[in-house]
Amino acid sequence: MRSASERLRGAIAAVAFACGGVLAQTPMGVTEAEAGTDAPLAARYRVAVIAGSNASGSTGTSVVRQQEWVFWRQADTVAINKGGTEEIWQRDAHGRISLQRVLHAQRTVVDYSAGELATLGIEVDWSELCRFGSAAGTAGVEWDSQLNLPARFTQVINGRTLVRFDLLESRAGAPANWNLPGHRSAGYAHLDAADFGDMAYDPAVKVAESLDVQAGWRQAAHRH
Amino acid sequence: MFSRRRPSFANRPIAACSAMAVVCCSVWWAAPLQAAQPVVKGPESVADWDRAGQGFIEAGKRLSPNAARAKNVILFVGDGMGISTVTAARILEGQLAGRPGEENRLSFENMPYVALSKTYSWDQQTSDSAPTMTAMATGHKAREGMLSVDHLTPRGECSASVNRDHALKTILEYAAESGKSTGIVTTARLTHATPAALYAHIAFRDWEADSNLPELSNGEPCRGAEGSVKDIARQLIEVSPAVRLSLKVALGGGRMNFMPASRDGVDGVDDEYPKGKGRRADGRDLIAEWLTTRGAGAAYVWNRQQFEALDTARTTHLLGLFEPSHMQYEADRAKDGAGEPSLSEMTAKSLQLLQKDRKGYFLHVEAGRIDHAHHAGNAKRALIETIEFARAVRYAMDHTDPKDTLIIVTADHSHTFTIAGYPSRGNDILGLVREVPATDGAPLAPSKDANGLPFTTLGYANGPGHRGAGRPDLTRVDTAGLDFLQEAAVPLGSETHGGEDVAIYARGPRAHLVRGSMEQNWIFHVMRDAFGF
Repeated sequence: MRSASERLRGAIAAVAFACGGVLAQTPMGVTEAEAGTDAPLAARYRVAVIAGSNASGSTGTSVVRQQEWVFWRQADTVAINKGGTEEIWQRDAHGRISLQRVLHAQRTVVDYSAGELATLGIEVDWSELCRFGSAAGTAGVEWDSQLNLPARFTQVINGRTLVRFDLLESRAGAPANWNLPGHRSAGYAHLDAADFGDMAYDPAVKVAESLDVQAGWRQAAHRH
Repeated sequence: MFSRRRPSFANRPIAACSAMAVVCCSVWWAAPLQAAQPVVKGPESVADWDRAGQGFIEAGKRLSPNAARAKNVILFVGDGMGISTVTAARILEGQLAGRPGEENRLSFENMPYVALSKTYSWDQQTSDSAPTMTAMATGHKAREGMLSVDHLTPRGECSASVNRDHALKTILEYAAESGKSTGIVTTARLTHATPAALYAHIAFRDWEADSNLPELSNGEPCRGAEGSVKDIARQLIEVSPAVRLSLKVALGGGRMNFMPASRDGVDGVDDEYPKGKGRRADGRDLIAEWLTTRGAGAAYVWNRQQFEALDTARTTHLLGLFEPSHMQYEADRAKDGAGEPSLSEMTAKSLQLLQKDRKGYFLHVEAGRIDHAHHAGNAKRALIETIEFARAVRYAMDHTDPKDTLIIVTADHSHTFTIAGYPSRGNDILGLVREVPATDGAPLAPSKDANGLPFTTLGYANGPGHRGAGRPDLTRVDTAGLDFLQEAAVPLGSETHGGEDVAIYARGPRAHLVRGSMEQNWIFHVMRDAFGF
């Protein structure tokens, strides 16, 4: 069984995936040309889980949990630092997209090669990744057409948990005190997601599989 | 941003027959209804059954055990290639050639001797690859996760001396000490459990690079501590003098375990993926060390162009590391930017190098990614891997002499992969089950479950293919698509190994010793007896 706090973390972790999963078009009717280019930048978001919310996302005002995420966009890298975990998406010269999940508590980086993502049935849209995979289909999206990023939006997770994203700040060059993704994990151990089947005992595998499940990539994780 | 291609929500209508089965539809299922002919027909005549049976008996009568010593031994291992995988791959290979498929034979199915291998380990009913390959490599069943150390080895043992005290000599090491050449080929990392069991002796299969060793193990300092066991990549480079001289070919993936994370303050940058870094915390460049310790004829390649340009006449010791981790799935290999050889191409190159040695050789070839695709619940990739594995075996069969070369083909363990329902002859093995109609002339239609939903022939007992909220309607789903995940009964993030027996196929000297129901570790004894060690 997972604790309430774990479920809450799960809800937060799932947001970016859920956002990405539904952002099949540029939000708010803004065309790509109108929205401008996806210039390299770093942006800080406040991510708040609101208590007392319902599926309509119209009630609750009390913040029960709040995090700060850092979104980092470069030509061939899009990354999000979510505090305890990071996602680092990279595109190579041949257009293949791979993912690294950084699990700070386990001091582990999990590598998902392009082939492994395909084997899991994951289709990645790079242009949507570059825009935070934000919030089409959700209420009250405010789009920053200069940055090509959502400035504010809310999402309902699992029909009951309301999560609000607020863009706090963006910079072309991130200040040194921002926790940019990938900067803390140089000495971490690496796992290949293809090895999960042989490593069910590993705590990092259990965490990564749980995140995969929350993302809808796997139907269930090992729970020993 | 991204999405999971859920078969149940896919919107790709397919024809009643997949592309693979079109031939079958047009040839065997085209009988007009009014003729009341069977809609499904095999290509055989009535006489064919008897003729084939008699042919089998005659071939059996001509068979005589080859009691000679083997000059060469080749051990092929399909990682996770259970018998259901062999069957499904056999059918798929046949269907890809435009035939019904069931009558097809993979290359190794033509070998004269077959046995069943019991794959349990000293402490596992259903085993992982470490003790199973240890059994085949050393003749001893061992513990979960341990490579070529005996079953008295403490779990997590990091002491080099304790690991050494419990080490079990492998068939590769026996071959090296007898002056033969040796080789290892895999599509997984060279440091992965199956290939590593041939040259490494270590209590934990995951200690592939020094950065994988824990700081503490069993309360004792481990990573970087004096007297701690060498990581697996380092063991490949720092093998015994005999193995260093003997190991002429090592091809596979796992480049990062041989590269320094940084050296002299500079990150160890990968040639193929510039953002990739090495995994070695000790700063050593083991690829360079291979070249400096193996003599003037040593070579290293990491892409297809280099591999093809290799001068086998002048090369004495070849190291090929084609990916940072595992090599690409065969189904995805053509998309690899730098290009990499197939398993059959690596097998061919290895034999060209090893056959230069008049004393003979031991070669191990592993199809490492059958297992990974099954773990992902992705049958098509697993079957394509298996077909390529059979191609590699065919090359070896065609380019060796059965009088002096023992070839053994087996698996380390099975998976929970099943072939179920009552699909008709020639039914797309990746498709929905369509039974033989109850009435001749009636059209084929998908079989239905208790809720009226169609289902696929292939499935898993557990794994990521479990659909949470009841069974999906697969009527309009392309179940033969490369990325389709077969349904699984029990929800698990990764599909698991299976515990039933796997097959052993053999030909050549002492191949007749492969017979009946065998303990997996007896495979080692067959190879050693054939070599005469």
